[in-house]
Amino acid sequence: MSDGHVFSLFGAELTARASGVLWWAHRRILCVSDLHLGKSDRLARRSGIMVPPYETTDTLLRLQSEIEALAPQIVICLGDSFDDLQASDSLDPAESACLYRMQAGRQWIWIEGNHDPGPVEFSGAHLAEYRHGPLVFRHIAETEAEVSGHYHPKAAVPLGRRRITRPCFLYDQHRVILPAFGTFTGGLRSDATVLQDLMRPGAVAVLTGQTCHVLPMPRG
Amino acid sequence: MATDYAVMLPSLERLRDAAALLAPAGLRVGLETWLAGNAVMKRSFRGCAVIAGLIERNMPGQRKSGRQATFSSDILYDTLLKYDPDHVLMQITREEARKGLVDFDRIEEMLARCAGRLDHKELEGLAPVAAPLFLEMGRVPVQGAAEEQLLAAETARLMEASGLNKIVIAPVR
Repeated sequence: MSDGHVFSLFGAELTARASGVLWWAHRRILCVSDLHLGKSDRLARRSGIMVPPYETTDTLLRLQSEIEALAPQIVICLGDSFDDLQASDSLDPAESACLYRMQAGRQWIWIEGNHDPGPVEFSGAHLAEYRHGPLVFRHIAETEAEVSGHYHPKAAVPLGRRRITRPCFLYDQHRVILPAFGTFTGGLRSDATVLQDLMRPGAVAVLTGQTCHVLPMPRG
Repeated sequence: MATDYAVMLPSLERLRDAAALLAPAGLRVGLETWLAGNAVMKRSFRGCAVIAGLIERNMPGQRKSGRQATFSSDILYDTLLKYDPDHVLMQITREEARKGLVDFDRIEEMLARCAGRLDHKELEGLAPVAAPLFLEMGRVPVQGAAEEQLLAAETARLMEASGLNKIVIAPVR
């Protein structure tokens, strides 16, 4: 249970982990989406709202513990890794060091997102999309056999009078959409039209959090 | 669930020992960590965060933006609790919660007063003093193991009902 929920996509056996990262054990690929590093920095710059700036450290530490647990050969960040290109310069030395430590000894791929549509100063390959085996990794869902992010999906489960909402993976036979990993990120409910249109009948939601919970994708 | 004169605690399993539940030492430790992570504190924090201009106030009837960019005040609270628990907003939140919602001194005093004199009764039916509690608004969820258990049971039921649990998603080639 704590190791996550295993499913198959075009022959690739993937694990949706409770932390919100996708793990392709056979290829030792760890995939994570929408880190939104430097979000508080961008908010302060653009709107003057001084949100406490601890989310970058928190996001990096959570990613680090997954990397330590899994020891991936390839790490793919599926875009919106930085809240904007300027935010990528806002990491303090400790945060940058944390990122460099994680990058050491493995291949690191930055996929471009709408928030970070260009190279950042950190090492690693900067790509619009990345193909590996049967799968393509890109920021926004387009075709089939793909792993994407962008929408920050979340799903709600009614429990009596309450409703528990958590970030989730969505997958069907054709694609998987990852939840946002960044600490200061909101979510888009799975009954939103765009997600309804993207995901086919029989789609499954995997809630993240302490443990994974698997349910039919709530369609409102 | 609480009113001025009673507290109601629904539990997932049958309660065997009520005295242990109200033992001051355990209660104090539990209360502090529970209060730190609980919905009462988060509600107080939301008020502070709105006044500080960090988040927008939600109005009844207002259409939810559904934007992925807006994150909840709970996330802000959890982050501050972890990295900067003495932040001025957290100090204000604790003060607000202590004054407004939970009177710690009176809880302590009551526990001292009734120590060793607790009666645990399993009733056949609903006690008259308990009845109004079921109609009260404003339940405070205790987020713990029970939530994970309920969630696991409900999601398993949904998978079963949809038949998706029997489908191993076949590779498409």
